[in-house]
Amino acid sequence: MSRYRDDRNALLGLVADNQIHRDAYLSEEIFEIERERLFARSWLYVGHESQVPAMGEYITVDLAGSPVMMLRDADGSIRVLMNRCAHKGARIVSEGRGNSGRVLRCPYHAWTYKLDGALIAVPLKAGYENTGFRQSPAAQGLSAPGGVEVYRGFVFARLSHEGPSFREYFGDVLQALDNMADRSPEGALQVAGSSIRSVIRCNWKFYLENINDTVHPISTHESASATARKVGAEFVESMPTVMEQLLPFGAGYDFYSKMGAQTLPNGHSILGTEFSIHTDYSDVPGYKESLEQAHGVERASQVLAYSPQNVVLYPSLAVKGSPQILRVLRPLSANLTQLEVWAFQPKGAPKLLLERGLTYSRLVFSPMSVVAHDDVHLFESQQKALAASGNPWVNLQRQFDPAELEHGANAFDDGNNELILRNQYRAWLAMLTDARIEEEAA
Amino acid sequence: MECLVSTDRLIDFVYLENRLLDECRYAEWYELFADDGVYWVPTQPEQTDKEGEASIALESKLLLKLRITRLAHERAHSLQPRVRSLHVVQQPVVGEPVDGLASVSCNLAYFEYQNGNQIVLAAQVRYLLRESVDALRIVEKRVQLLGSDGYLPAIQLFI
Repeated sequence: MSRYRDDRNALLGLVADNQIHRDAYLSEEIFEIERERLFARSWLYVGHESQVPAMGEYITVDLAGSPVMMLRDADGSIRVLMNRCAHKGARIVSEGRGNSGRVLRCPYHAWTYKLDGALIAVPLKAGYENTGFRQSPAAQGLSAPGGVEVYRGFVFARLSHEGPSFREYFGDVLQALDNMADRSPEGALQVAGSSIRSVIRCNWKFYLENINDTVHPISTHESASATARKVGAEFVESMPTVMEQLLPFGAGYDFYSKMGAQTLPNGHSILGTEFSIHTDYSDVPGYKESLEQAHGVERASQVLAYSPQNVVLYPSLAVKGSPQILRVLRPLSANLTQLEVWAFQPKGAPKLLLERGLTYSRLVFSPMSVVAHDDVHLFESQQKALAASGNPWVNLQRQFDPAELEHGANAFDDGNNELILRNQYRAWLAMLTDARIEEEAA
Repeated sequence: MECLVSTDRLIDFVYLENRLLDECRYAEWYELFADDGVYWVPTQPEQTDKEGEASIALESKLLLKLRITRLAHERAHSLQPRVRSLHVVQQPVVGEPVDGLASVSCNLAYFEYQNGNQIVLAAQVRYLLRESVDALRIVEKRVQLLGSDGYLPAIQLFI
């Protein structure tokens, strides 16, 4: 039964000024609408160009239900193509990553494509003569997303041919990607060979909200931070990186109240514009000097001073400039979400930086992380318990001010202000109810 | 280098180590590790690089102690209700010594249960062991999950 698809008012009823209706998280119909109107029309993170350094190298990912491949073309450019043969729909490549060589050849009937997706050969070619084949969709080769953009090495795609341009969509939040790339004296990053991958039985929005939730660590992660303090005292000085990364999880409400935050149009946000739990990581010998030499003293100090808790590039990506980590959400259904965690080495910088990213990824985001365990447990409990009869609302009211409704962007001091979450839902609702989509459908 | 540890002792060690985990005798299990010992769960099937590539777990004695200590914390929310594990161990096989350390491996079916939900993971586990004062100590326990590069659910206890 369709309850929301053709009822704009029903959709509008899901997002109040300061609370969200549970159907936004629980309804499979809403998830389908999200795929069509939000994920297909926004810019989703595909991968990093350093994953495919040589011609013919590819990776495959699922983008909102579309199997895609990201590959390196013969001219050195990055291509994103649907991993779907134009003939009968078989996958062109089957590995998560690999090298296709000079052409892409479907294993089913040997239809062959250039690395830009153009069809160059089919078997029994004579059989297509005088059939009008040239006008068929199959003859157009592999489909591509509506838009592809490579920004500082990070590759994004917009599935739909309609929707905002890359710059228009992300705007000022791109500074987070600049910051991460500029943490390299060469201005370039190298992704660690593989990611840490999790599957969580919850709606993707619970995970994404939590990335900006400063009030949960002290209660949710008490067992991890209290134990780290206790055990750390027994192992003084033995593993400073680990302690440096875990102990801040015990920071109190007051810490976050001064960190500074910024909400941006389209759901994006920067949490920790002034400082964060990552600010006090110790200096790496020689690193600052090499950045100064490469970028100048001013830019180098700007790059190093900027270490937000999390920057969200809505709806699929969260960035930690330090310690150089991306978290990518790949939602599968209303109640199932895949997570990829990627760590980066700034090229030309000390190896310790990658080790910090990898250590943090394991300690805090891995399926075996004692920090993530408590998060995941609570997300999964939300997904189940929200079905309870009675109150159907998720409350996001902390520090609500009606004046905030007038602004597309807001900067404020207190990271505990749930405006940073309300901002996500205002963008969510605007995309789900965009009148232009209904016009296109009509 | 010659390795003088008998095959029977190595095999018995593997069974004991797994039994300690299933019986929640974590303090005794922790003592099986050498001071420089690590518990390692790589993400990639052929992974050899611990520090430069992503791992699911790479835990020194400090981190093992942290994980074990947290198990008893009254606000370890994710462990409520209680999580139980079972290790089904296939006959261990003694391998060639590695850097003077005894090597023994086994195939493993790991079950973890909580509140009506059970996960099952297949793994190959390799132990590198050092003889010290008449006892064997783990220098490295490498848990190679069959699906290490896939999307994994939360794994709360020790595989």
